[in-house]
Amino acid sequence: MRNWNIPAVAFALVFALAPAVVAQSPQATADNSNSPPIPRLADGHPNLQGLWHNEVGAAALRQAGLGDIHSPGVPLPLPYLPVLDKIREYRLEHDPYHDPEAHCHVPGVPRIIEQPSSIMPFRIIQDEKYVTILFEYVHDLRIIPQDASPHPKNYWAWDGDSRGRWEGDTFVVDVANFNGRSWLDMDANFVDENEHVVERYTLVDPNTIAYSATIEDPTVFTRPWTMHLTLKKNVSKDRIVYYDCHEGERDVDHYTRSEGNAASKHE
Amino acid sequence: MNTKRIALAAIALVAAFFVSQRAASAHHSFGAEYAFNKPVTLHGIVVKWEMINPHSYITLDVTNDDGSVTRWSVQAGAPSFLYRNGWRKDSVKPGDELTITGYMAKDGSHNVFGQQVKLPDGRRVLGGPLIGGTTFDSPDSPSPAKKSDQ
Repeated sequence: MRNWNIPAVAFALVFALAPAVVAQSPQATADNSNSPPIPRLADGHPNLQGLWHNEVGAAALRQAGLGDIHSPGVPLPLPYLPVLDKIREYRLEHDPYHDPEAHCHVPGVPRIIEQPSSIMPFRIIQDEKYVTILFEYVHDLRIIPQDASPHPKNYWAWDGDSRGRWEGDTFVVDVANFNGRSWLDMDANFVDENEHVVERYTLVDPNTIAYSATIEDPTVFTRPWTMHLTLKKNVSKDRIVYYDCHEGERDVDHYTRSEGNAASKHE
Repeated sequence: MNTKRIALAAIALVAAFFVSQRAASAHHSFGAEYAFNKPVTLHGIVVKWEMINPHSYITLDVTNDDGSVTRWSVQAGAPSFLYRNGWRKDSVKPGDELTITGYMAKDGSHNVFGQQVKLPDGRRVLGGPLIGGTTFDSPDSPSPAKKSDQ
């Protein structure tokens, strides 16, 4: 009990009341005159390079130890079309076994930024043509051209296809061509193959990126919705450490039938 | 602890309870596999220490009150999490006597999510990032490893 303090209490309450807080959360912008100048590459674009993590998730771990759960910037509950919210509820209650991430698939976008990256960092490498994101989590990799080129046809993937462009100092990434099998989180929120994401990365100070992702999926949601996250640069000597999901995976064996594992050996 | 502090702590625990029903580790749902309402403390002898992905495991033999021995499998965090908290491959070895606090598996098997591990030298180290664990500046973590250990 001695470890509880007022900041931790405040954080826990904010976390628990996340949906109410989100509506009032201002989005950070790059023109904050109180912030130090942002670093730039020779081409004039903001230099996004470095080792980053989802700051809110890290704060959750630091303050309340609650693990890898939703950031306050996720506007729950999501605006599902009629009946589809019931599907989510059923999956959450009876079928967490089928979360693709539990079976070691890559998380998809924006889940890779929101959830695993609150525990495991990612590194951004940037030149004049590409922004590349190397994730510690399951070696996930995104190589994003900056030329606003069109998405390919007849191609789909767990992470979709990412095409970037600069709008002023904000790097905007259009992501499409998803395979439609991803869950957005461990709460069984889901999308289908019509998912379309627009991410925005804005360097607001040398160590902070204001990140947002607008998700639209007309066959799942009634309207587009946006999550806002704060990404913080890790300025220590930390680095990407090897992480592999398949090496010694034993968890899904322990999911019971009531959680969707029809082959459970323990019931 | 004064009344105000107790009240704040109570509020925090309630809030933490509600959000931790959704808590999860990096790749699987904690709540789908382990029971928040079944905390456990194990004291036993290490049989095997596996610092592997996606989760590390300590196999522990625990002597029961009747003299019989039960073999437990204790899940700990990913090597990357443990490494950042000062663990190394030789942090635990067979024959070590450990006390581990954590949570029982929901399926009734002898599997446990190891939240905190008390090493033979008395240090308390984090086993995983959930429920009171931290990955950054934890007061329970050991001192950073020596340079020669990096």
